[in-house]
Amino acid sequence: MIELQNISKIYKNGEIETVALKNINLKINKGEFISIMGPSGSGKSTLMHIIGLLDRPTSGTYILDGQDVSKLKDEELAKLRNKKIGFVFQAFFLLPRKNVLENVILPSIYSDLNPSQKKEKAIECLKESAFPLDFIYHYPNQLSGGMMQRVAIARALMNDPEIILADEPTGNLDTKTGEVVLHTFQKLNIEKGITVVLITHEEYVAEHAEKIIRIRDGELISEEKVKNRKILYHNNENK
Amino acid sequence: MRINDLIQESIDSLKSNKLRTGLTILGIIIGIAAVISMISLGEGSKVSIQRSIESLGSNNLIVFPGIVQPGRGFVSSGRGEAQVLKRDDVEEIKKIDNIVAISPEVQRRFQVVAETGNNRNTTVLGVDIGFFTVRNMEIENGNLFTDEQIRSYSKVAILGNQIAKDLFGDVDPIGKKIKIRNLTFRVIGILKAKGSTGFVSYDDFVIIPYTVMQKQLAGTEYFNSIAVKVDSKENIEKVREEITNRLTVLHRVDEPDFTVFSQEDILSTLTSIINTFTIFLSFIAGVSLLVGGIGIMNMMLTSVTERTKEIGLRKAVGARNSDILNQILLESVFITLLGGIFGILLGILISYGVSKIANITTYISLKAILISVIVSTAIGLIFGYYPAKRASNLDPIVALRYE
Repeated sequence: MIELQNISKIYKNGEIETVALKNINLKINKGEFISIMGPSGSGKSTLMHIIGLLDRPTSGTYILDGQDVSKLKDEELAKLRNKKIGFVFQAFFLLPRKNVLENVILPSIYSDLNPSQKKEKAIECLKESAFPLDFIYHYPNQLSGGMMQRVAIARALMNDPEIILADEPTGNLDTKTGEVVLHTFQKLNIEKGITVVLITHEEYVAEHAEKIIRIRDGELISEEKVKNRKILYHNNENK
Repeated sequence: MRINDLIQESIDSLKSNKLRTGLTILGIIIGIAAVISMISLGEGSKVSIQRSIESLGSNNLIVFPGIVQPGRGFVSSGRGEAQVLKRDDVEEIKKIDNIVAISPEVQRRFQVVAETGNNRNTTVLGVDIGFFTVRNMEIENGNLFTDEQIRSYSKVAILGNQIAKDLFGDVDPIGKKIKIRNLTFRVIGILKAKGSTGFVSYDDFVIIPYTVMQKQLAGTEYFNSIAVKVDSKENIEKVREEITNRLTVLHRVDEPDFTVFSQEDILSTLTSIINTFTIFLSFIAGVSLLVGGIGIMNMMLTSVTERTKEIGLRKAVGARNSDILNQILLESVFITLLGGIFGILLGILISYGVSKIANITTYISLKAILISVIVSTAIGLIFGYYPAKRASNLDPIVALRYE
């Protein structure tokens, strides 16, 4: 469970202070699928970085699974990121020198996963993200955008995360491939109970979540349930 | 992070830009090869000096007239200026135990004319029969002096290998005549070739009985030096002390007016000169190694900057600062280790080439190789540390946004 209490983030550049987040209070329960919306510069990326343990708040408390993580050291944050959080970025960030399989395996070289299980686990994750297995020895530059994003999702799943943080995951994709990605998120959310936090500025994309949180100028302005949630994944799909 | 993964990641990223990695390794190869060949040249000179001095006879002590002032070395001793060593000194030294042979020597330069008409200005050495034992001289052809010939002022001569060729060419010199000043000598023997010993070459010497030399050529009753062969290494210091004491008493002086050198003294003087020289050369070679190290730092900084995004991503998926640090450090250590190995091979090749082409002795010591390996690894760590630290301290958010 994610609990943000009075979180503020202030960037200092010499004399000038920029307030990125102001007194954010937010609770995300385990297994929830939420969207964070806001125009660019609203602070939604900063919020994602703090939730994703890539950054620390200037003030306030962040409790992740009952543990106060707002004052942890870099090394401890790295460990938690590795274990609990899977990132999916707009620009995919696949390593160009590594093939699909090696890209998916990457997070596990920083974890304690038994080396003999890595390949098996990576293939399982690629199946989970609906990646065609004929392409696992291809390099990122040989893949389409949709396929690259599926590799990125498989990579996020590699260490069995509790939370998937997706920053504009459909931003570089056309509507159809974007829907495949959103479908995968809904499936992972329902089947595996993974908490999904989706950051987007598109209403249409945000409506795939259960809940939308809107922020503007660093402040949380609303938190509401999606009335007509777009459902791509149906529970009985595999049956 | 497992060591296997760490090695794999490092090798992968070095392979990603082979040309750049190769050129950086080349810098280290040149540095290490320069250091190795300079050290091997120095070590080689030491070995060859040692060999040639030992070939002149081991366990020798040499008494020179005059005192060697500390710090000025034996080269500038007062040979020829102070005249104190006489026949009495030889007789006195003979009384000492543990001496195998004594060789009093008188040395001058003269014009030597052979009956073939050839002539050379060369060193003429007046010796006693002990000379051949003390100086390890062997006859290639003919005979040595007899005691009788020496005592009876016989005008006989033994030629060094080179001077015999210079004076007589293809003619067999045995039994032929040579003229030194206005005295005629009969050649009775030729010495085996010894080669240069670094500072004297007996191959150019004409050797005659010291009696003739003293009375009829040099007009002196003094010797330039008295060389003494001791029976074993252990007795050298004892004999040296004995000689010093006895001659001091004989000369009726408070402080010795002569100096007793051992071969070790000469060897250590020469060795220390060579050492200084080797250190100097290695220092210059070391500068190229330093430049190689800067090359590594340059390459690693570029590579870290290029990989900013990758480092950001690695951190996002859970790489700790230390994982990044280790990977970058390992990359630069790999470069220097590879450079070190190939540098050692190239250094050995250069040393071998130098000794083949320039005919200079070189000697590759294990010490030189070990030093190179340690130094190159250290260079990798030192010059890789700053880029590695910089990479590991990258803020993942900034790194992921980097364009």
